[in-house]
Amino acid sequence: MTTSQDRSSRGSSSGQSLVELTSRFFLGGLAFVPTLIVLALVGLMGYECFLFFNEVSFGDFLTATEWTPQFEENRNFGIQVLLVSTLIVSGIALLIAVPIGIVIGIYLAEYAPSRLRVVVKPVIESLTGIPTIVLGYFAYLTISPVLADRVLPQVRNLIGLFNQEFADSLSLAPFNGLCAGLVIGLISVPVVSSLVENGIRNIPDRLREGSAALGMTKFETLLHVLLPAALPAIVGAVILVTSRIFGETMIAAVAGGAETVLRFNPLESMSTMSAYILNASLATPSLDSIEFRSIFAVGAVLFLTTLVLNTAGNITEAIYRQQVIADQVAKVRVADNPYVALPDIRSLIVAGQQDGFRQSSAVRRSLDWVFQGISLISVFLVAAFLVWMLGDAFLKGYQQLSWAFLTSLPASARDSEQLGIAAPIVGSLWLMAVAFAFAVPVGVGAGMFLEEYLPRLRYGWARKVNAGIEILMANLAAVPSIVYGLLGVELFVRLLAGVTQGRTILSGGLTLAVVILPLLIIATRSALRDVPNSLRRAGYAVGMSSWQVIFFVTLPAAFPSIFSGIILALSTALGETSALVAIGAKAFVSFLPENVLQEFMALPVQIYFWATSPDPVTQKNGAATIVVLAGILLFLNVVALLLRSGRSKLSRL
Amino acid sequence: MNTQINEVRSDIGEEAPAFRLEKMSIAYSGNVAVSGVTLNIPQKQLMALIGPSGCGKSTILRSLCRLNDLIPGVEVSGRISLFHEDIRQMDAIAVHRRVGMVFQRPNPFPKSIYENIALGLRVNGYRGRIDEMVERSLQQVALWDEVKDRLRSSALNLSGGQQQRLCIARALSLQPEVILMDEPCSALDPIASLRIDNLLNQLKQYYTLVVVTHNLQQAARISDSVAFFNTNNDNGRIYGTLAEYGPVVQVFSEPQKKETYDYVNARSN
Ligand SMILES: Nc1ncnc2c1ncn2[C@@H]1O[C@H](COP(=O)(O)OP(=O)(O)O)[C@@H](O)[C@H]1O
Ligand SMILES: [Mg+2]
Repeated sequence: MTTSQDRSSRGSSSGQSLVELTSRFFLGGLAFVPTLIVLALVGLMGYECFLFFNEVSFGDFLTATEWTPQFEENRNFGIQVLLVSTLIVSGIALLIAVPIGIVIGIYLAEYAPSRLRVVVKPVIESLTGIPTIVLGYFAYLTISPVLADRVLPQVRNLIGLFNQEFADSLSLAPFNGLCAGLVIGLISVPVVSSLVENGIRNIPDRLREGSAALGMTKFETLLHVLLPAALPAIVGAVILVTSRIFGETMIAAVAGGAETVLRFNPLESMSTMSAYILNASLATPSLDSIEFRSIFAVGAVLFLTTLVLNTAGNITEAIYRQQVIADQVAKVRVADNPYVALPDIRSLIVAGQQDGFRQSSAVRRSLDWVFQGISLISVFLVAAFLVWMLGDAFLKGYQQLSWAFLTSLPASARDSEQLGIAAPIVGSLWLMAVAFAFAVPVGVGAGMFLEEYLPRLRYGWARKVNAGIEILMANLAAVPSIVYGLLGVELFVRLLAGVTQGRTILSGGLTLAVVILPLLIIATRSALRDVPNSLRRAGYAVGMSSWQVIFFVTLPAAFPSIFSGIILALSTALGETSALVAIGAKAFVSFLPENVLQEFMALPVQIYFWATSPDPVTQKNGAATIVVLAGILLFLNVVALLLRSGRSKLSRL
Repeated sequence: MNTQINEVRSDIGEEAPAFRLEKMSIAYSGNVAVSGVTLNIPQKQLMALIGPSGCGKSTILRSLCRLNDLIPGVEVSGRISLFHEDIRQMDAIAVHRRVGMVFQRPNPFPKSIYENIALGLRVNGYRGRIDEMVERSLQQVALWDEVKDRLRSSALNLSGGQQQRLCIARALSLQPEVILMDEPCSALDPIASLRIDNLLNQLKQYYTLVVVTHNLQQAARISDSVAFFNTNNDNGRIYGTLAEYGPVVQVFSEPQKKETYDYVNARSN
């Protein structure tokens, strides 16, 4: 591989090297932005927490058993209340996500025929592309009633056989932790399954052949050889998904409810940490109130928890990848002594005495089929959930869809018959424009610097720096977006109010830029990494200097992949709800925004406000908005997919 | 060198062969890799398979123990019998047990030395004492004295030659009749391979061994008989065929075919 030293030593004229230097410093500056974001996050959160703990003692924060910021007289801030709810909802989600995710991951890695795999994998992974507000809405409006009316009576009957009193006491609140946990668990399946699949695929085939040659079935190979070898990858996957689940906001807020009471019963309403942040932000408390500060205190707990989990998970995964490589090399190189006399082995030989083994291969082979059956059931469950959800939204909303619905403003907030979604559509377009105007140059530039100028950091102590940067990026990508929402409130709405005019499109767009920046950097880096080095060498061979190779050879070659990364980031940003709620997106504006300093609505936020409305027509409008948003996202994802497959066809030529 | 003198046996075909291959052809997703192989592999001898890269030696070896079952799209035609039984009618697990395989690169499991051998025994429902069989197997490959004090340490800490002998021991522990080896020394240094050669010379008195090798000197040192495969180019379709086979002395010094003569002499100079 060409190192950057010999790349950079080729600048010929002094004008050339000036451009070289400028581009290097400029891109290097962009690459520093993520670090600035981390510093801002830590600094601003730390500041608000400091103010919070000036008023509330840390001891009370840890020991109080009530969370009542709204009471003037007897305010209590006992984090236990929110922590317990978060743990219960997350626990339910983990019980779903981990077993199903591991089974599907194993199935995709070891069993699925390739034709089935190319269908199953995108279906499972499309779950991560659905805006969580849509899923929260589905959990609350559809799953919760089904559980209450259909499932609960059956469960009651069953339990009644043993304990009638307990059975009678069971009832499911409309908002409840169970539903939130179930749906969060289902959408987290792809996170686990793709990490587990990669972990198992990384194990070299030599081990599979070795165990097959010893008469082990596929399932036995899996159980005794592959899974133990992939254990660190699986542990890493579980840690990473735990952090995702902890930070999940919209599903928890919509389906779990807002009651901040210390409860252990998941059948009742319970507010997780992230749901509290969202609900408290909705009330737009004054920026100097204790309620406002309490949001940051909870945000800090959430941020630190996910940070610790992510770091641990990413380090575990990184160590695993190292280990897999290291295991391919024999460690001790002791020269063998060929002169060792061979022992007489005549007495040891037991060739061909097969009666020493039990005959049980029918039972043994059936385990392979049992496992495949379980896998297919799991895949079916996830796919059925997806179809049910999309079908439900479509059936509820399609009648409302019309040209007028797309293009009209609401006549008044009360008259639901005349609601249209022109304002949120235009608001979302503005937000995307602002977010991408900032995030694309910074993200692509930073990605270029990290990938093209920093490769010298691949050995020695500096390799650790590079590994650290990767973990930093992965961590930034995994910070719950509600936490970025808080950063946006503090930084853009408050500190930069002179520029942004407060809760405006500009603030919202900048916040979304922060949310998608890590995704863009990661996508750019992996796109550049896939560009073959021979192409770069060809550039140098015709006398290009380092920056010319980067801008005229590498970047164009990587462009389709980068572009598909941008589109995926766009679909993330379009579905982002919680950060915008925190920034203060409106439930209703009666005009189309004309510049970035106006208040705004956005499609997913509109869904949030409409879907939970008690009025059935407004609810239908919410469903119709879901159909619109899902349609746009589906289109974007298909475009990204085509771009990527088009590229892989090109590279095969 | 104290390389054991290879007593050449020329009794091919007198005893019942371990394997009998009749008009065997193997294709990967429709692309023929080897075609029309008819070959008897004598028991309790060592047969070396030689030939240029890509002529299908590994493919043949893998189908002898039904490891090709793992690869989707493989079609095997013709007949392979192990002591008169068609192996494709037999239970795959039984075939794996009766026919062991050792691979080009040592592939111990990332487990302890002990566990590498015990695992196969346990999974296959071994009735005897596992500790005892682990010791026996390690002794057969002359590894016992080197590792008996660290049976619980990772097999990955062994040297390449030791790892390969562990893999042979692992195969021996299932008490097979045949052991197949695909270039077992090509990833080892010369001294470690010499040790393996010595080991094979001893083991072939008790087991049927089939060894693929690119090293003709090794073939001459260890084998009783040799099968030479060659690649054919049939209008751009390239596949392997068996050119000739026979006792080692015959193939090396009085080859029947010009292609064999060319290969044997080009390589050994
Ligand atoms: N898993 C496989 N899938 C498709 N083709 C294969 C596979 N393994 C081997 N081949 C093809 O079969 C032919 C014979 O290969 P192989 O048996 O490995 O030869 P040798 O071991 O003699 O070098 C080659 O053309 C090779 O490309
Ligand atoms: Mg081969």
